[in-house]
Amino acid sequence: MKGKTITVLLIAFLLVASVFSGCQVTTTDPAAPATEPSASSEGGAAPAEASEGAAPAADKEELTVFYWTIPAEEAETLKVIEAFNARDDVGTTIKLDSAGSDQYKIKLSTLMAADEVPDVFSVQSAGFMAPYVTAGKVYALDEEFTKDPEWRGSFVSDSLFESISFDGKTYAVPATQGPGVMFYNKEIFDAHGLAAPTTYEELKNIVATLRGAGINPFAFGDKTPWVGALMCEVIGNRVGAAAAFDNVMNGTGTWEDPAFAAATNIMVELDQLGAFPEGYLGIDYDQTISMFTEGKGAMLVMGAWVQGLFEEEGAAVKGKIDVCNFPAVEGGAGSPNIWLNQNQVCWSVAEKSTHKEDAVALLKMFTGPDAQRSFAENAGSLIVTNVQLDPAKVNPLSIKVTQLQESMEKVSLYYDVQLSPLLGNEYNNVVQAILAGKDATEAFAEFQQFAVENADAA
Amino acid sequence: MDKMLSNKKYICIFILPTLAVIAVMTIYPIIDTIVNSLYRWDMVNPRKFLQFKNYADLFSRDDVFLRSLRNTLVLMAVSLVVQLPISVLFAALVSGLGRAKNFFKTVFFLPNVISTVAIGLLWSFVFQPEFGIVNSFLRAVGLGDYAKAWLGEEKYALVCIMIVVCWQFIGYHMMLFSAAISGIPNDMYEACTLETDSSLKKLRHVTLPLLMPVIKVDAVLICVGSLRFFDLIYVMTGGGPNHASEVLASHMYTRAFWTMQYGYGSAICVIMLALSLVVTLICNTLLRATEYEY
Repeated sequence: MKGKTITVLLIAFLLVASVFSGCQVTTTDPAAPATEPSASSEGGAAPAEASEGAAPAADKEELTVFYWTIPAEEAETLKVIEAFNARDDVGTTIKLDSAGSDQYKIKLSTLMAADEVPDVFSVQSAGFMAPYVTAGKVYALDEEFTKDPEWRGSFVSDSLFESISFDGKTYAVPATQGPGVMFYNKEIFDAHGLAAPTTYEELKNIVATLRGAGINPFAFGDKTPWVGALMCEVIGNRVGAAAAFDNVMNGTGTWEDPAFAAATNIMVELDQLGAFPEGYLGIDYDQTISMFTEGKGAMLVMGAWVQGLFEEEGAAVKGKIDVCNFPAVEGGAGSPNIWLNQNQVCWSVAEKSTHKEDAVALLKMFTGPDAQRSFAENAGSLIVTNVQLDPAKVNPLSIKVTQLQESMEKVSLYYDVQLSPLLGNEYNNVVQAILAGKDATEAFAEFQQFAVENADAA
Repeated sequence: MDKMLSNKKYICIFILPTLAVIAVMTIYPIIDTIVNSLYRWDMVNPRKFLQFKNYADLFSRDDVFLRSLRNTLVLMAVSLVVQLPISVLFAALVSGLGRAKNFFKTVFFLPNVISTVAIGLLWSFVFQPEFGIVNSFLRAVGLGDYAKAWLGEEKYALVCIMIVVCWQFIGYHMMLFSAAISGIPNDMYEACTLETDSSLKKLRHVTLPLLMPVIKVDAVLICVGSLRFFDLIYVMTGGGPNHASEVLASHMYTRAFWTMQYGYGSAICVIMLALSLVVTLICNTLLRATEYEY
């Protein structure tokens, strides 16, 4: 009997212990080593531990950094982090966390809500960061710019700061740009006697030729709705949607402007001509990119952030990819010289950070000449500061895009970045619905109503 | 030991830790969600009280919600109608197998030990339009015209999901029934043998009635499980194309975390909770009448 009682009590103890074992006890002992691993990185590359390489000095505090991984730029980002950790003149060592694009957005909003904002974090501009700025979570960098005017002066254009400034204050620094361009596979084009199209009619002929030869004209998938929306916005800039979008944003126009429907109808027409792969509504972003890098699609309309992948060692399309501007649409109210663009990666500092000086030092490293040169030369990134580059080392696609941008007349921001998260997401879904068969005029009329009804929503 | 467990004081002591955990992990979040559903809140800025506007919007303005509600109910009905009978049948068949029983049980249960994300990816390849097994097979047997972009077409996306759901969970429910069948005393079958040799009749008159309590529990499990279905859909279709495979949980996820309408997402959660309660009640009422004891 006594033995049984002991057994029961032991089991009860184990049950209770197992319940509480899940609860983490935070040690307040300053001497205790910080061995806790960084939080999980859903998607994307594994984050490097701060302790990787040279062990951090035991007396250094942590500078938490959270960013979204861009595969082509990952190695360069980690190099900057390592260089920061190796510095003797900063009082902190970086604790790194990262996530793939979709997971990053979810995690950042959760961290913001829990008021556990990382000291330094990457952001998208405009509508994406607006709620965080209004909630006072982001540190305004103006004072830092005043202290170091040379830093502010190193950026190629003031226009880079428009989408990251709110009420006259700047809340981030850009590090790279991501304009939407059209890549094409020279090998496939040459094999069929094709040249980069300059008009939409030429593009339709290319589509017909390639489809006739059993080749996917475009690597494209719209399971991830922003992929189709991006292409639609690029086309929209050729048919007057850029001006219509400006009107929507300043309150003088609506989504019922025929330019929006015209842009999506061109997508629908391309679809009917067989420009897109079979079942493209079930193909996601990653599969779209793989399709192109494996040479299974002849063209790709995408942000320039992917171009580093094409020139990587071992890539099936290495040396075979060229880039051009999506062709003009005859009779369209827009122009190919209106570029869809955004600050691809921006870095911000948390308002409540206790290590602002070090955080700003890290921002300066990301936008400093060494890192910028390294991003341009090794990751194919389009950089944002005035840095002398060695043309022999820079990704030829980057040079070509920069040349193409010389004729740029106007920049239009990605819609889902400019709009609030709700409307941006819904716009992407509207494009997907139209590709799935919905009437464009009707879809945009409904979207207009949705936009009005949710004008005051978060 | 028996004496100790009949003492209410001890029972309370044993239950208390679990109760505390349930209160903190389940009851508090439920109440918090209900409260949040009455607000407009983006999780970072101050929230604004809206009364029941979120609920009104759900039913009057949000087509995607209505579509996801319908999809969820269809998914639940199909799961119930397909999974329940097949898993009972499989359990009955496997139980009569003797030594091979364990082998088949393991095989059928296998999908449950694989992570749902892996299953989603696996089946995405099966349904892949160009090199997927389904289309390759159709083309090989000369039915190439029937090859479809399964997950990329509105008509088929949800059907494909249902096939995978059934494939994944039939083994699990079969295990439950199989365990219950092994608990039925052999005397019952022996008595029945005096009347008939037909296995079908034994199933109909002995196994099924005695399985009723388990069937009831299982029906509730299937229904409630279907209501909160999320991961497979997230991996396979992301709710698309054009919301064709959107379910309540995926719509809630998009609205709460993606578009930062936490209050609105909470309202969808509350609807899911209410549906779960209603469905559980219905299951219990419908299946109450037929219980046997032995």
